[in-house]
Amino acid sequence: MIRIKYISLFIFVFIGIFADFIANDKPLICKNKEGYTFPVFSDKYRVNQDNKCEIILNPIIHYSNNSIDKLNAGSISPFGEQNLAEKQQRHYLGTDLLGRDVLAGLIHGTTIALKIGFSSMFLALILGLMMSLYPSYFGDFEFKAKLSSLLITIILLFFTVYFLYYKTAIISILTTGGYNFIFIPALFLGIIIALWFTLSKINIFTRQILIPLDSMFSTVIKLFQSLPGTFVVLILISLFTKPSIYNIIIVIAILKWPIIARYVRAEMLKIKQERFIEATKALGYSNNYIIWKHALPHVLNSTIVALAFGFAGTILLESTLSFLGIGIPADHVSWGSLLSEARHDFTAWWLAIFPGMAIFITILTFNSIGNHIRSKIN
Amino acid sequence: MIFRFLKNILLIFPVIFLLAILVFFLSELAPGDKVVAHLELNGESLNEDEELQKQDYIEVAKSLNLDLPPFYFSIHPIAYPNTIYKLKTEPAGELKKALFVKYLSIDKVNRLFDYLNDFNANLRNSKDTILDKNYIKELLHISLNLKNSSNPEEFNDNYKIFYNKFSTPERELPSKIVSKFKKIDISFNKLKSNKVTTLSIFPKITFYGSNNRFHKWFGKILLFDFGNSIIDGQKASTKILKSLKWTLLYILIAYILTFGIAIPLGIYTAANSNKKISTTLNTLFVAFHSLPLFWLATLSVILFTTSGLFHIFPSIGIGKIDSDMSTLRQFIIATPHLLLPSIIIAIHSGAYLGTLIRRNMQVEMKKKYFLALLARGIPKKQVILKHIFPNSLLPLITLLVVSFPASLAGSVITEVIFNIPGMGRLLYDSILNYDWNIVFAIVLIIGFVTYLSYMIGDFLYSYFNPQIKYTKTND
Repeated sequence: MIRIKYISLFIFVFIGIFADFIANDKPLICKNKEGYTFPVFSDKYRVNQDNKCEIILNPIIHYSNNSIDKLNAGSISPFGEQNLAEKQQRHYLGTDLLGRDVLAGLIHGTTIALKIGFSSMFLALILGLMMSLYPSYFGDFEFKAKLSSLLITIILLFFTVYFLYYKTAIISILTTGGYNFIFIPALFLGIIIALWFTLSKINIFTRQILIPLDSMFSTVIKLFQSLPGTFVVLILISLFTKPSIYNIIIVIAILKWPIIARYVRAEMLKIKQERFIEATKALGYSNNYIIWKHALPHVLNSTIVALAFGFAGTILLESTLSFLGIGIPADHVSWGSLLSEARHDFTAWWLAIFPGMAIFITILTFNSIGNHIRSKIN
Repeated sequence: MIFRFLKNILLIFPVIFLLAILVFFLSELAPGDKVVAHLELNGESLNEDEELQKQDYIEVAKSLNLDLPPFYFSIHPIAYPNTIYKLKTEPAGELKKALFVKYLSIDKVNRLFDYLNDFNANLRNSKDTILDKNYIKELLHISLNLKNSSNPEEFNDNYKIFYNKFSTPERELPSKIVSKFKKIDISFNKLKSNKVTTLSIFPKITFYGSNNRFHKWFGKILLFDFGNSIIDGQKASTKILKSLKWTLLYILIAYILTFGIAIPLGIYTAANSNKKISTTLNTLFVAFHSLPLFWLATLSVILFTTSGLFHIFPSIGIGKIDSDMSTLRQFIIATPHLLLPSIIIAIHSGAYLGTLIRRNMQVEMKKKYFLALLARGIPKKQVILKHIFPNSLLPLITLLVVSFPASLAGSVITEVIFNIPGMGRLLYDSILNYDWNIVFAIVLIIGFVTYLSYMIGDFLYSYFNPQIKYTKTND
């Protein structure tokens, strides 16, 4: 049983990476006067126009996700009669209304699922670590900062947001006045540094203040977790004027990081009690060193569980969005967008069954991998 | 505990305020021109005459409070004038703002646009003169193109064409137009060579007082006035209330079914954990919860409705309903149609709830009191139903309360597939049609309901479990 999960994970990743070589309307290898060419890699190759080249090797499935087979348009069943030139060109899983091959769509949908799942989980991991690694290590009663550094941090944060918001205006102001684009930022930095130095010399501002980092950040995590997921994603994505994969990745990452942050936090609270951390502290290593060299590897080990569950959730969320038609742009294909075509034609069961199966199997795979790793770690 | 509850109730006000601020700024980010949407709703086709068109635009913008500052205060570079927000009321506001951001003088931008408008008006009026009509049309097209550019770069490119056309005209132009053109050229060059002190990048805070857009919008929100829909002009609150009743109805049915499925099965699997049936049930639970809800729903529509293979349930939608029927009668007609979506939701969430009940009960059954009760000779059935089950419900209380807003929000998928005119469907349609008033009203409502239900869950949890004392612990 354990093996099946990892085999299906391997198949998923393999198909995702090599989708172009498995399902494509261009041949893999061609032979012409100059020698062997590889049309898969070139965008200029046109089907049925390049008669000069002799096809040596075709991909297994002769269709790409966007290639339209006009002869078999109008939702042809996989068992139905198909109008084919060659036997190999059969649509094994049927076609949709426009005549696109369902199997090719499934294979190219794997790429999208892999891309979105992997990048949004990576982003979420980074965000989650940022929001939980230091807070959970220091807890509520250990992190102290000088009032002066705190003030300077707040000022710098304010200016960062301010400069980012007004960036075009600020750039045009700086470029109108000769060499001022060097002088003014230098002046600004100078003021900040001078402020820092003077503040750190004044008695009131050198006081150490206890900052309850952990409760501050875990409140933020709880707040984000209480957001109703599908709903927030719908609203956020609709605020972008152009649909694109990157928007979805960012929005899903924003929604999924609390899961990882919670795992990291729970793990860090456990590890903090361990003897080896105490020992490194006694040896006089700095907190930074302990966090990055000793705590982080342990934390990451068990974060894999959260990543696996998160991956499943990401794929579900992405396909839900594409199903509703607000997800990926129209020229891409995803399992969800394939499934949504079943809504227009209820008799075409193959449009509903196969993409749904793909989503279901992938989610089940990642969930059971997560369960497996969790049971191994404990 | 009472104090904690009171504190939470008092916290509602700042929560509403913060939520409103968040939603307000999200709505500022929303794409699309509100004024144009409003004009289209009223059926006022854009006037032919440019002057009248401009007047219409300004009038609507003023009625939407767009001539007011957005918030109580604003932070902007010193180079910005305090009245920069007023650009929103003008038809070419976006271009003007972009030009201002590039060249940093609002007066010079305004002057340039005044000259341009004057120039266009002159060109139009010179139709009666010796000049050829088509030639004037061509000239007018070029100068209007200039005004309709979308960004400063395009404006610059268009200006080059404009300049070439008018500085060396193919035919002789009236002296009036030539002098107006020279004015435009001079003012544009002045704008381009505009210099500002570099120190004006530093921020400045301007206070606008309570006469601002957020203040007025928030005042309306407190009176449940969320503005009008841009599709049919109905009030957002009535539209939402109308749709909310369907959502609540089928969520109620779904909740009843969920408990009906999950509680008996959860108890059964926990009590007979070594039987083969319960292991199969457990796998079924996991499988059904892993099934994507939208797939389950689509398949059920394909298989079980009128259009499907097995005709068991009535068609999707809510049946034939007239708006003048009483609500009860509407519900009676719609209930059979809402049965299938409710069953689908019940299967999906019941699987999860069943697993939770089983897990919680197994945790309780490992405790010593279970063994002690059995040792006294009380039948196992009675022990499980009377002692284990009630004790295992405690962790579920919060979950149930918290799941309510989630099911409200999650209703989008079910309602879109089953074609129920509920709140999720309304949200989906409004998003697709850029009907932002309704979208943000729903956001506010869901946010508020989420906060309320978390509060109630918190209260119930501490009420049923007095052991819990709210101290600082690491959970």
